[in-house]
Amino acid sequence: MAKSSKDVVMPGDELGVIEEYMPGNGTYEDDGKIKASSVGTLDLDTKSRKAGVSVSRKFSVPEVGDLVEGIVTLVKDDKAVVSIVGIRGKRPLTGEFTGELHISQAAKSYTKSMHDVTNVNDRILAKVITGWTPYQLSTADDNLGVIFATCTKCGDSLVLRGDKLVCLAEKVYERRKVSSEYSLRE
Amino acid sequence: MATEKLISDDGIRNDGRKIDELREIKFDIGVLKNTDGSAYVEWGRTKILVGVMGPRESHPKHLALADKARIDAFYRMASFSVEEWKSPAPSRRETELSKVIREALSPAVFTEYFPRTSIDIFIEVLQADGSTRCAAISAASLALVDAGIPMRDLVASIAVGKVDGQLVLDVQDKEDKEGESDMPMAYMPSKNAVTLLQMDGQITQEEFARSIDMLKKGCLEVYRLQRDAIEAHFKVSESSNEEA
Ligand SMILES: [Zn+2]
Repeated sequence: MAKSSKDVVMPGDELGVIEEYMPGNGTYEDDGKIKASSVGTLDLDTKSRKAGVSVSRKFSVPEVGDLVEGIVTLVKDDKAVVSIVGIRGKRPLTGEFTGELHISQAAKSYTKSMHDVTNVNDRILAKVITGWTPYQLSTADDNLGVIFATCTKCGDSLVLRGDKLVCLAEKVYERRKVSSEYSLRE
Repeated sequence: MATEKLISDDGIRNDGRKIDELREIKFDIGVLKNTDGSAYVEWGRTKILVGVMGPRESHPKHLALADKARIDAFYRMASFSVEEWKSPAPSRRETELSKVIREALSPAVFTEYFPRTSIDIFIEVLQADGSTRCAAISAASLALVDAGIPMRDLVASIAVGKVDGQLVLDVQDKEDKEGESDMPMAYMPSKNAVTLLQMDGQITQEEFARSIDMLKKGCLEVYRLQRDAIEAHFKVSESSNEEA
């Protein structure tokens, strides 16, 4: 094989044959050959017998398992609609993707209404659980849920006190499924 | 018909090239900030800027395809791109070329990885001196790579024309207007697959066969320059990542 692991490979470049290797990341199979589908450096794993590309530049689209940040745009009893504005570990988005958080995926414990989980304009951290728009999201894990919210009445930032969100101006608590990464603590 | 000869008796074209010689071509990748991918090409005096947006959510949503990404190209000529000031309103030719360019690039893109999204390719012709569709396709293919969109191959493109009864590679504007035929091709070199072949004017069967040979050779030269540009850009970006 002519390619070494230092070489920049690009779409169409032949990396190996299917008898020798399995197609890895950033590759595709074409008539018994493994070819690069993205630019990067060659990644030959002789142990797992995988020929892949260590991709230099990757598209920024939500994929199953990704952690995404989004703004809640609509809350109904059984679901919330979320505008996904960023994907952790990926390039900044030039547009937005639509996500949905269904009540069954909101928390580990029983949830009566989505109004107890989130409110319009909350910023949430969620995991992607399906592969296309509207992306289904989950906030069940401890690190997931609301990471920033404002008071429904006065618009001040809510602050985390213990495990509850409070408005310091009016001394009222608001119900949310709060992420352990909530941005403001008392 | 031509009033002056476009090819001299010793086989030199009026811009100094031999009949099978390309103009000077220079690609740049990643030249725009607010796009997902971009490329700029100077192809002789032709200058084209390409920006790719996507894959992103389709708007309006009913245009989205259930099983793959939708690709659209928007070919536009700047008013100052040609000698006679072009009206800024989109022309029929621009709409047609947009479609041709989209069809030349689509076979190379793994659209099936991105259902219900859009990939938009914006092509701005800043200066036109012939073969703008070839230059646009070749540069757009690099902008798609820059966007990180998985592809089967690069797409390289070139045109062969017939001028003063002779076949010439890489047609400039004067040769296009005064010549007898123009035949642009787009090609995926490592797959050895033609994604676009058009034909304007008349040539013989023998000339057709020779044209195809010239086109493939020309595309391979363009391909080599595309590869050089990718290598230069991604080597640089990798070393700058290490610094960060
Ligand atoms: Zn308040």
